[in-house]
Amino acid sequence: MPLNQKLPSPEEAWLPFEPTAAQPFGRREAAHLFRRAGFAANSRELDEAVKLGPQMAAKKLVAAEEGEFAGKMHSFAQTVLATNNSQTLAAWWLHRMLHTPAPLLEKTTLFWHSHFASSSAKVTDTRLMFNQNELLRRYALGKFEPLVMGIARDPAMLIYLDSATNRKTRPNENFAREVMELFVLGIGNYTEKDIQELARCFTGWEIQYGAFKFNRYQHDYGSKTVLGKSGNFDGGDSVKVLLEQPATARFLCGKLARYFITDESDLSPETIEPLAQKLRASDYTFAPVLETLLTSRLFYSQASLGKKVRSPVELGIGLLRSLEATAGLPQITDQIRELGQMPLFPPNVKGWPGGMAWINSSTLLGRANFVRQLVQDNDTLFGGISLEAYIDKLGWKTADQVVDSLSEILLAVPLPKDVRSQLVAQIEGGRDSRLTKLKKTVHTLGSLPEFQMA
Amino acid sequence: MNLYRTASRLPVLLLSVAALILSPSAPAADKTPREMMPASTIVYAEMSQPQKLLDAVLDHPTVIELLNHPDYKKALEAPQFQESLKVLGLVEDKLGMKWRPATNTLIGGGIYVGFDLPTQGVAILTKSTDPVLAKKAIDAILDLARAEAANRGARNPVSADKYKEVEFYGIGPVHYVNLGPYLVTTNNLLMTRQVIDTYKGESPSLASDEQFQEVLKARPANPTAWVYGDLRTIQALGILKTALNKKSDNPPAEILAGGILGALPDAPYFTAWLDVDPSRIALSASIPGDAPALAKKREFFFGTDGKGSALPLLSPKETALSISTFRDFSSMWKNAPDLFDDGINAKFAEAESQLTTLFAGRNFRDDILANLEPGMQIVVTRQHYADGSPVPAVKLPAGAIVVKMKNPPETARIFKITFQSLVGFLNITGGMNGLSPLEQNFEKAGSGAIYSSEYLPPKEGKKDEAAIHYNASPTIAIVGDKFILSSSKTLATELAEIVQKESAPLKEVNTALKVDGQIVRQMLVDNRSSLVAQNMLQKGHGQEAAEKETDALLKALLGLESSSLQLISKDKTLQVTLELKLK
Repeated sequence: MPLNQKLPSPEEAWLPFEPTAAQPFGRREAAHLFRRAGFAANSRELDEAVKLGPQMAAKKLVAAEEGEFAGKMHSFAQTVLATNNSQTLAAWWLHRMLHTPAPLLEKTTLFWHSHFASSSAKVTDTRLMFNQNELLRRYALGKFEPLVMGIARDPAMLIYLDSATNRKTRPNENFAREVMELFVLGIGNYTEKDIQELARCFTGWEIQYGAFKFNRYQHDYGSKTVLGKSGNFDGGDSVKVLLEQPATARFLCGKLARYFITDESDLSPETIEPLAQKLRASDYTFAPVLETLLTSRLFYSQASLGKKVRSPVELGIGLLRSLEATAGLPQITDQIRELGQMPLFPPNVKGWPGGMAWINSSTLLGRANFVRQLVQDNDTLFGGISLEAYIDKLGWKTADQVVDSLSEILLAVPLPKDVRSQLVAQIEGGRDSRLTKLKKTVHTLGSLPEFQMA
Repeated sequence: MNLYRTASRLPVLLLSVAALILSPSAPAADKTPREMMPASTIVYAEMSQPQKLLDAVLDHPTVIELLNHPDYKKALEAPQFQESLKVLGLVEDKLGMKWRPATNTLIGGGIYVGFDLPTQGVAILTKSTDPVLAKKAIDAILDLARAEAANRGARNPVSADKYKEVEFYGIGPVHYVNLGPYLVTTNNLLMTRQVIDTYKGESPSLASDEQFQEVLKARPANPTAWVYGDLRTIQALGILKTALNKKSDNPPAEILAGGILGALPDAPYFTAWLDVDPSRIALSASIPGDAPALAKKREFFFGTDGKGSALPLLSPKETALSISTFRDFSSMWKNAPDLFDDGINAKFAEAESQLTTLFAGRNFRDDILANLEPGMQIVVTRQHYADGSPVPAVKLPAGAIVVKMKNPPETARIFKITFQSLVGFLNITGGMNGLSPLEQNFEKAGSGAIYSSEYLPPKEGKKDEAAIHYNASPTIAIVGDKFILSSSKTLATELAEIVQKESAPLKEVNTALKVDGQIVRQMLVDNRSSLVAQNMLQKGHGQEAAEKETDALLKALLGLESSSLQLISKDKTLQVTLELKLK
């Protein structure tokens, strides 16, 4: 049964979701929260979230990552970086997503990676990509201004946008255009003249030997007029001007809503505006905005549930996290690349389009094969043990229990009755071992059209 | 090793193995196993004290560690393996004792195996030290086979028959027959009959073969296991000649084993033996080979008169690997058209052109290789990093090659110029990729000279997480007639001192190799964080699980002291010996 049959009005959309007897916050609702705010949850995490309730569960997800894990991941990365292999670094990131105790932070880092897209296909120094990744993570739930300032000085970004040099005699409009169109304002909220003036603000910003340098001899110290404001602006000043624009918060909140709530871009400006106000009021800090978003009535409404297509990363990491599974990451990286979402390799400066773009006849088959490979591989462990032992440990004894519990964890929408019956029969009958049958069940569930939705 | 695949076959294997090792009481016989194998046996192996091997392997701390390794335990969880353990449990119940002491008793008198070409038969002879237990065990096996068939609704699989008044049993194609104190197990009926004929003296035995007698006479005393292979039939068919006399398309294989492969087509037999005790495992193999004759085609491998010998192994501090070999690369290069196929020769020509450019216009074959004496010493050592200098996140070992020059004043100058050019080239290409430059230095070392280069320290970043290239400080050293090319200045300096002392070649040793297990382990410990990271990536494990697996592996390696390999070229024999020393 849908969580909330009634679509909330713009006024009610961002009010906190209060569970009732008719609309409880159970394991299915908790699974929805984790699928969106992270990469899905296992059975134990769902039970804990249900106990906490929707507000506290979201608050816990928004909380900062513990320092010990971050330190370990940093050390892990240093070893990976010694190989200067960007595919290995992508595998490192997937490992981080798989094991992080703060999945929302990682999910939001992935959001910013697509928003501020740079690709290892062009940026061949893996350390620069790692530094950018760390920058995105540092501010993923924090303030937008230092994030934009960091990106504007980020060597990987400037190399990717062919903006390693920006001289006053030939201001680089490419970077300025991306800042306005893709990073801060969105299309239609600026003029060509604004781009030219903004490019003057960033003159003298250079990359030398993989590091940002300010070349004062190449900076244009003259007066500029950006979006109606005039002054002797430098790059930092110009970012402040951009953040003062009402369109900025609307643009960012619109993207966040599409990422966390629904692929369908039918959320009206009126619906987005209260969230944008929240962002402005928090001085462009994302944690409180995301907390509002993830606890809102809209988030638990029909407009949200099952209204997103799982990205390849969400598909693979989500399946593993749901069942506390571990598997070889180089193979997972390869599979995710085949499905169109290789981390650190976005297709272009606009990032991944997402939504229905993930699905076509080829990727649909590829997704089913990906699930099969993950589940059938003898090296894949579930909570450190076999799938059979793991399911026994969870206390799912009968075929009905197994199918219902798995579908509750894995699927965003109810399992069709006929499919359920077939799966139960598959476990109860046949000559295969129980382990084989359980693997087949997870594979079947992971290949269903219902599993493609989050 | 695919443990799952192995595990899936275990029930069948267990039944067969258990049956193989049984030998019920029988009247004393005067025939030895080699007198019971047919004369047409082409491979014969014997292990007179198999329990010695079992004890040495299964009780070794390294094996115990490996058995406790999570991967092994995971394999044990496989349903097929569990099924096999159940079968083993049933056998143990019937015997009234655990499999280990039971096995030691049941095969205590030895295991002997032969392969007969005409019948395509394998015969395994086992001798028990306790006839009562042996009887009990064979009954248990036959009962299990009958019970397993009954469970499947199949008919009794155990058959009984007679040949020349000798009764034998069969389960499928496998046959069992008691001959004297031995239980003979064969894989087909023809072989069973052949063994019975030989036992009764109605057919000639392997023991009557002259070649076999000679080889047996020359074998070492009391080996743990010994194998003899008769190559005359294969030789007559010309199979090896056709396969091995082709021109090689693999230069490393030719350099490493070309001499042995060249000798094999003309060898009438091979023999191998294994010596095992709690502190050592040594495997040796030998074939007849006339080195002077072989040298006509492979002078680079054996030397002009077949007497080319390697220099002693070099042992600087913390040597992980040391190799010394007699190889005349100049001779190999000159004879390349006879040794290698056209594709490889084209690559040789291409390499020669490029190397001539690198060596400032000197012809690589005639001016460089031809100015080196045959032989090469290679060492790989654990690397240490000076206080305050960058320490790479991935710590690689240092490596060096030592060769002897025929004309030191001329050749040393060419090497020095080439080294300087190379460092300059690396600085230009490295600079284009943002690498720190190599700084060149010169210093005297006794009567020699050391030309080193070291990367300038990075301006930013932690010094203990430096890039991988900080493992290298390319260096050459020229000491008398010795030329040293080293990846590290420290190693080159140490070797410069060592090679000043002249040493005589090792008698009859063509190639020697030694690996120090504990230094290798220490190098892995130095890179523990990298190994953990690899585990996290390759298996997707969290840090804790990855550390546990890595530490288990490192602990297992504690039991390996060293391993060594020698290729010995005597007048009429080529012998390879691999020795593993255990702690």
